[in-house]
Amino acid sequence: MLKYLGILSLVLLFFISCQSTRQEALIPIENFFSTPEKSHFQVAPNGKYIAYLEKSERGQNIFLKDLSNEKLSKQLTTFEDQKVSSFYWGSNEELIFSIDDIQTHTVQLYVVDVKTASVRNILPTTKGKMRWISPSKINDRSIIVALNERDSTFFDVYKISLTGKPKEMIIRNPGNMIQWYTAGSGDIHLAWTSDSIEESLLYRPHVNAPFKEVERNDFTESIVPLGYVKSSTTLIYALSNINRDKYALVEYNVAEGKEVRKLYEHPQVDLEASGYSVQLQEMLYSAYITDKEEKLFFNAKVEKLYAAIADELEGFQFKVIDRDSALTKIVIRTYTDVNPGAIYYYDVADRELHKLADNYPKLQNYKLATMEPIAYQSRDGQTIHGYLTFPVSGARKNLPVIVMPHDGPHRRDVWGFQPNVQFLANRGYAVFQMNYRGSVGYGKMFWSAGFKQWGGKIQEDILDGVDWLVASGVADKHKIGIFGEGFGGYAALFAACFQSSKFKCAASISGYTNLFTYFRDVPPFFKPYLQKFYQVIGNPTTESDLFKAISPVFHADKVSIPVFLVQGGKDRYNSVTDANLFVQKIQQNKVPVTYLLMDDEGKRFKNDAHIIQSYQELENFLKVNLGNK
Amino acid sequence: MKISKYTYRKNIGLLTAFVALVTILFVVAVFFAKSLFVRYIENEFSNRKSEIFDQSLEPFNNLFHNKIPEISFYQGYLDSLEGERYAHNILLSFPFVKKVVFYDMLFTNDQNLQYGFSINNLLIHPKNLFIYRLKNGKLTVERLQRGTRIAEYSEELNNMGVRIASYIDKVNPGTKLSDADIFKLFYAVNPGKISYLNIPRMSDLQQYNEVMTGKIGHIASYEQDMFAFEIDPTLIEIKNSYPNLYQKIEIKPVISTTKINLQNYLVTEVALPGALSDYKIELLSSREFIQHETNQQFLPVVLGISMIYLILLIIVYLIYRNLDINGRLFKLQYDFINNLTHEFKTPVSVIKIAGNNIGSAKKLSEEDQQMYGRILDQEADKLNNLMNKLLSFTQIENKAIKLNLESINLPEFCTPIFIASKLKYTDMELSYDIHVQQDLKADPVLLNSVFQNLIDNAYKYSMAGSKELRITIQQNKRFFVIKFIDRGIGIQRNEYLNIFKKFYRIKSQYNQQGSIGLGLAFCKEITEYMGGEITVSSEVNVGTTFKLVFPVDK
Repeated sequence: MLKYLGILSLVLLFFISCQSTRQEALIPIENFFSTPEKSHFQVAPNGKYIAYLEKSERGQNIFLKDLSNEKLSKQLTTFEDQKVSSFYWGSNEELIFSIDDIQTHTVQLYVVDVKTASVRNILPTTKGKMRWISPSKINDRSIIVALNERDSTFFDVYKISLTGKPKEMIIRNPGNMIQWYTAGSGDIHLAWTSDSIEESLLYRPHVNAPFKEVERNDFTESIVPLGYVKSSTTLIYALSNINRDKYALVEYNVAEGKEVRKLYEHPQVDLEASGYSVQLQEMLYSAYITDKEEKLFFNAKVEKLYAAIADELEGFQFKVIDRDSALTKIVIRTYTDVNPGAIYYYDVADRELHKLADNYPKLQNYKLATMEPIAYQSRDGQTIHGYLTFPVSGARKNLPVIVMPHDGPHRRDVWGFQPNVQFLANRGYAVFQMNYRGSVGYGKMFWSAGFKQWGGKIQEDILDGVDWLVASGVADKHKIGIFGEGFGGYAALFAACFQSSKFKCAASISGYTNLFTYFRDVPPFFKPYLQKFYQVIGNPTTESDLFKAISPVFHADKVSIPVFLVQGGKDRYNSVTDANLFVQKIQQNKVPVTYLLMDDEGKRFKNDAHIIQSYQELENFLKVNLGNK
Repeated sequence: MKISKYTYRKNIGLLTAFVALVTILFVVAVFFAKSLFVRYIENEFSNRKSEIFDQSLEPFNNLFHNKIPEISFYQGYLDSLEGERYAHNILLSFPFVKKVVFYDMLFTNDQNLQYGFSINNLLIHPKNLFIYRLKNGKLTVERLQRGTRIAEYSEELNNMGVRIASYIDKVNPGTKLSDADIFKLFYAVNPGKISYLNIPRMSDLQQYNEVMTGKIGHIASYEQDMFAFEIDPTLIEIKNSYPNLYQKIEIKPVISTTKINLQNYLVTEVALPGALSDYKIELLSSREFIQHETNQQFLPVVLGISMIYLILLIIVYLIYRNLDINGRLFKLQYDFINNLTHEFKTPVSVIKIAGNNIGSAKKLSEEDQQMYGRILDQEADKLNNLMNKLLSFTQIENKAIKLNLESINLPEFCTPIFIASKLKYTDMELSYDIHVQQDLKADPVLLNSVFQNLIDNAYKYSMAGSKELRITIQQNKRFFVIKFIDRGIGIQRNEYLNIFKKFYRIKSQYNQQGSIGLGLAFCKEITEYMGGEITVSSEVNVGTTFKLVFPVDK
């Protein structure tokens, strides 16, 4: 779960720039939903270069910024129709990058030389997907990656030679391994499996020994390896919530399968899976998110360095993206709730921030809406944390409100810049986000309280939040809409079926219309794996009544408020047939429906034009039904 | 009297021609309307069937487009319990579904299961087979497991297997399911039978492809559901929303062996679609039935046309009557001019004779001179009178004179008139009786005229010896009532209204000369002009009473 959160934070949080004169105008929709031109900033181990990806018309290439001499900066790859998907510094001289083709489901790996910009292929076009294994280190001129070529449903570990030798499978996945961890030596001693309702940690003392299970947990309990303790092959830093409610930082002996000691635990929230330095092989800090993210430092030098950076930033939050081995160049991205921020690198030598790129440059000159942490009590006494974003106008009472439950449910909303929230706030709506029970980050009690509560207690938490907003005078109770993506969309559609008295309209992007369909995405050959979903959602065969009761598609005839539905044609969690029938049935009752089908999109839309079109239609839909500007 | 060539013309021929034309039009209109209606009803008969078709097939379409696709909602997770609930619901709501067969299946690469439809590594294995029927309103469930009887249901399975497998074979990561694909793949529609396979997600189809091609090394089994519905089209309830058009509507096999003699029947039919295609809807009505319906619809139209015809005839009659009245009026005016000429002629010839006599007499004695003077004066007065009458009458008729209303003290007003009349008509016995309290508001000059006229009339239309006139003037709260009662020749009852008409004169010996038929018309005009009313009552040879009524002015 923490992995998701990490990715989510990266996607959602953005950067600063000047606090110049801000406009409070209606911001064009494109300004909110354009993916950045430059991304993936990575500093070379020796701190001399920063490499990044930049988009061209149909391609995406690696560019190199020479930090000592700007004139020597150059473009490293020149693909016109292909996109470099990811890369990392193999050494100070070489970058290794991958090209994933989403259309044909193939992957290729290349090496590019920093000096000569010569590109050579090390993995010819291979069917399937590739995953980097972290930390990916070059050992005897080869790297280790995971590929699902043999069976699309799981990955095997391969050694890819940089010299052109064919790839070699080094770990054959029995079908349940999902993660591997390389030690300082570059060998894999540790693997993580999730073959079922249970997760386990596997260990082997050397590469020729078989993996042995050292820890096995119910899926509600978990241990998340972060990295090896310096020069050890048996001790690791890990986050663990075994025998405790919240993830704590522990030192763990993988050879014995025992927790050695607890290093830190926060009383209210889980720790984040960050703060380990691969280069230094030590924990620099632990991060945790209460209302906003905070850090506890273990390394005094790093703490001073971070404090120095924070001084430069005047109130902005920041995240470290990358750093060189000597900690002389730190790439960060800054953000606040009202500013998408920018990407900088901090040079320890001159103690200054150097801007690399603005995020959402077209939003820099506009005033954005502030996001305030809030908390309320649910009907059964749970404290629910959330965020409330007020429209830029400054009005705080009797507002039209968009209730926006997050996707998941096993995720959480965090404080920071969120383009869709800012878009709605700019259009004059207050945006209400809440971490309903079942959200992660608040410990496993709170998380598991959401089990089998789809449409149940989870939905109640959302409604309790709405009541709280109305009671506190923030919301105009005749102008409340509910909108969300994925699970949030499901909650909106569920509300349209059963709670139409509370909401004026409901909007869903990739919302789950049918839980039977949603369940189909659980691979059926992992029979035991289903157990987890049986516990979390329910069993579609034995509890088909429950599934029927909580699947919106069965209750289209009860919908009496206008519905907005955007559906990707390749969404694995939803079928177009369900969405079509759902919409048809609502229309038969003469209830207005706005329905957009994006044939080539999956659950998360990739094409900016499609995202913009969806939000444009959403804006119109809300304008008509909530009567705002 | 001389016959004038400008006599009034009544062209009866024209009217007769018109009546004839209208009558012909009437007959033609009725005839055309009738044939139009016959055709209309026949058209309706063959056109309205599509509505009957739509309405009757509504439940079937609902089953096909709404209820059957609901199977896909379960994404293969239907079990015996939920499947039974679904089938029961279908059987209850759609009586034309005779039987529901539920294939609870696995798409698997587990070849140990052996039984099923197999292609490459993909085995389509029916785990369970349930047959649902309604017997006397109660659901019966038959569960078939491997055995002999399952064979009769395996054809359905194999057909579906061939279809889906050849599609799965072609699936690649970019494949999209079009609506046409959905219909081709997941529905199988045969006469009397619909089968439907739950529509899996595209990613499932890709998984099946991998299972089929052997790319998945381990055992993988996916739940899939298929339903087959056996349909008896004859149980579809027909909704005859046009009972006036169709006597009988039936669902019949397309190839029907029993042919009844349909000569006296109007028949039309609609072919049924898809699973019902071996049946048709046959709609028939007997010729008499249609005839009756045609008449029913035709009747109001005939009535309408007749009404118009009648109105035209009435108009013709009115025109005829108008012409007749105008003719009479023309004659009256013609008579009037004749009379008037005569009337003017007498004094003029008297004056002329007097003039001649005066001119030719050598010497005029004083007596003669006085006589001629008197004669000339009298005749001039007559002429003057005549002209005044004519003039004032046209003025009054055109409301050209102004009323000069004054308060009239009736006794004071009447006395000089009566005295003058006694002097004028010495041979008439005139008595009067006046009882009034208030003054009458009227124009004294005009009122005087009325009195004079009525007194003159009384004198004129009484036989010598019985010339008597009694005048009574009385007043009650609201009216002054003035009566002129004579003992003259009287007026026949049917002439009461006519005597007040202009130029109307009752033909009688008393009427030879000195009357132009304006007097009473004049009185009536004036009286009404002043706000009063004049009526007459009379008895022939007994006497006549004219009654003037004026409102009391308050």
